[in-house]
Amino acid sequence: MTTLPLPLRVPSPRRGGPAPLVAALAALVAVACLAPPVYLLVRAADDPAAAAEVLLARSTLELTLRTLVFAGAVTFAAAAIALPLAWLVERTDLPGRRAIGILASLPLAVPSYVGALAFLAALGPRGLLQQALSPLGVERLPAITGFWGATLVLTLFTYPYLLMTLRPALAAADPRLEELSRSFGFGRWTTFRRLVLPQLRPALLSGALLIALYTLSDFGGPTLMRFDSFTRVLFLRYESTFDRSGAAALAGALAALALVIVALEVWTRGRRRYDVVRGHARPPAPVPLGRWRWPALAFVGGVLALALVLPVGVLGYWLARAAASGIALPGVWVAALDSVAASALAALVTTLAAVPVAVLSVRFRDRLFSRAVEVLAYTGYALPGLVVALALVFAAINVGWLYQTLALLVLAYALLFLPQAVGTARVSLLQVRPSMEEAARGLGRRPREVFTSVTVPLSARGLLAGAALVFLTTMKELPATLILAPPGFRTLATRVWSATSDARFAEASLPALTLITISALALAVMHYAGARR
Amino acid sequence: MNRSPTAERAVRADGLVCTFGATTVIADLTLDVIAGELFAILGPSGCGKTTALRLLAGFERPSAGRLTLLRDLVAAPSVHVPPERRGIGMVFQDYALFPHMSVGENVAYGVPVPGDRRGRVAEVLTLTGLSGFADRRVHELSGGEQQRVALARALAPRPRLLLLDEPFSNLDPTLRARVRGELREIVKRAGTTAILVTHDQEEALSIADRVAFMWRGRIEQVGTPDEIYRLPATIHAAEFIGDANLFRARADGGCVATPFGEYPAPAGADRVAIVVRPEDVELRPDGVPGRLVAREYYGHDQVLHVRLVGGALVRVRAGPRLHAQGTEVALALRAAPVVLVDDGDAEGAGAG
Repeated sequence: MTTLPLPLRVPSPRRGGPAPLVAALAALVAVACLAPPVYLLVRAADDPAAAAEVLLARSTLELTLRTLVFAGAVTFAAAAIALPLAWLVERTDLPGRRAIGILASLPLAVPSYVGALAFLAALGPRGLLQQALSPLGVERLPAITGFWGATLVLTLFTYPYLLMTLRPALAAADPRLEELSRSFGFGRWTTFRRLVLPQLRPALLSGALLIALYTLSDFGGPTLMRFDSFTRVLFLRYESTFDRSGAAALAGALAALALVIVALEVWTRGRRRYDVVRGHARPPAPVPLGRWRWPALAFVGGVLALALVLPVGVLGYWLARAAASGIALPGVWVAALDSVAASALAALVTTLAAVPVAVLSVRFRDRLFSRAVEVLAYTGYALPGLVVALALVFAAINVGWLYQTLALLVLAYALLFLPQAVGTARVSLLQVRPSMEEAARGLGRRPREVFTSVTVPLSARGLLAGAALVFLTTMKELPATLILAPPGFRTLATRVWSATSDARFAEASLPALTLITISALALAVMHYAGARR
Repeated sequence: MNRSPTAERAVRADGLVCTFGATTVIADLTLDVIAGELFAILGPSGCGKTTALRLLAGFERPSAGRLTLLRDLVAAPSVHVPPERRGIGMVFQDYALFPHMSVGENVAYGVPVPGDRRGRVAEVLTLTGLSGFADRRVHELSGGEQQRVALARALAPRPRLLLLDEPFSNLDPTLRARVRGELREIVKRAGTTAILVTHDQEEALSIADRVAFMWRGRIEQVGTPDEIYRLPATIHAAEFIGDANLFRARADGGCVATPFGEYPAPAGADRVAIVVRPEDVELRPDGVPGRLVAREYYGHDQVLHVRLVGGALVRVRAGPRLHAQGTEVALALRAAPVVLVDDGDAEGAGAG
């Protein structure tokens, strides 16, 4: 009867440009993000011969390869822990899986250098195990430092990143597809390998990317475990020589390495679509583990023992010993205050900076300007903290009033953690349908009133979750804090670091435990605010 | 169209054009809507009707043309009055209720004077049959109730023009007929001019005072539901609205031959299309003979597919009496058919 015409393609939800204020703020953020890498390039170009010599040295090539192998090993090991853990928590009848799900995400509150400290204090040269065994005449234990020790520590305190991306993906995978596959006669394992795993690919890749970049840029963990990763070598070079061009070149090389990893992830993700068709009626029936529940519980218990019980237990032990023997534990509250103030400031500034970027990317995604701003905002994602800190230090030395100020430190945090805040702000803005904002305008409200009365209240929880994430990451951050902290400004992180570097475990224990506690609270806020209403 | 010239115009759109990049979504929107009427824009999906509504609301800017609401020029090449200063009320397809506010807060959102607020909210809630709902949360409501909240919220600031974008598409089919009637009654009692956009002809024909048929970014015909249905001005209108037998033929000397005889063709036309509604064909012993080849049975009536001796296939709406397939029948027209100029895909010039 009726011949329908081909529907005209109606593009993007809104035409007309973004408000000038939003565009200007976003442009400012983008320029700020671009500054560190550009500055490093300029700096390295100061003395091209020296820069080339550093970059082309045989030791630099070895360093690069060693660091890549390290990042790969940590990523692989973290996947080996997170994948079974996510599946056990989401898809089986494992006893206590809700509690396990929460506990298993807690190691995120333990910075890698605190984890390393705990391992050294327990199993290191003058550690608890050696002391316990010394009556038996054991003077030396096999060294836990080096490549394997560093890999173990980084794995245990980064796998929750993968758990965080894998669990929602597993929960969202449509169980009907699996039932279909089983009805064709494929077993559980074949179904998992051929159907579930491919669906988890994007989550696996994005979580793996987070871990690889974290490992690449982590400074504290590898340094304490005496593994010469790129960051350690770079830091030593910065501290020990006056060759700023060489350090800048090396920092640039590290940034390039991170970019290669990001590019690799984008390339492997490819153009395939993984959209989950939402709205399946019922959650999948949990897989009964039967007798397998004992090995499963042993696996979970082992992971939690190493990643949670060991660090907290060891630190608690040293704290008790310090209290008993009357070792002075000065000024942890001042440090805690400094930490919280800097982190809260960073969370606030970063979230405020993320909002205009997210507005552009969600509401005006068709525009080239929006995409450019978004890409630039994500550069911090790939830039190691050490690199950003060095770039800012080199730059700020020439700007007297900025050098060694809290403002510069907060700027570094904001540049580093902006991607996290933009990511959560995007998700929460996506939940505010454009028609709601238009309805408000139709009802006589001007754009600014619409933003404050509709957009902000509806995305507040998401923004809070993002701010908590930035707070948590800032609390744990070490290299940028070490390099950029103003004189007299000593955070928990720097305090732990200075006590640890000369094995004063007792002195490190109180700030470390305080740091873990505050971080865990931030993690709780993040989960609460991020939970669906 | 056929209204008295003294009636006040609520909307006057004159040659509005809207393009997104290289795509022209609205080629020419020309409309007059009279104050107090319920006006429907009807068309298939993708014809530009939602964009037309968004142009009226001010969410889109036309690249050419002029738009006047009551006596105010709100859009022209150098003029753009933003949506918040147009005095429109909008009901979105997804209702776009604010989930962080109660029903009462939603409705109060657009009411400007704080002193008048409480009373106005109560008044509108009563009008829409929602008294007692003020403190309810939006997500506790059924689809029909949510739609009435959206309507109440749009009406509360006493808009000069109410715009409704596919307001029934999110409702259960069984609920639609009832809600349609309610909506018309509420809008009429509020005394507001309203423009409704829909792809559902039943919706447009059953509640609108006048209907505009839109096809590929142009208004092809405006008229009362009866005019639109009985006297379609273009082939697209004939095909989209209702069920139609369409015979294409060549006119010859001001006349065109149809399976049912010769009828006058529009002056100067060469190719024409003859539109015959299935209910305008009847079974009559002295008609054109044919054979029953298929039928669609609906209970209250049925549509018979009849192959005439000349080869033409004709669909006939008939009473529920059973006819076996292969039965010899004879068909005749109850009334003269509408003959339209058939000029390919461009808009057909009206006739009939």
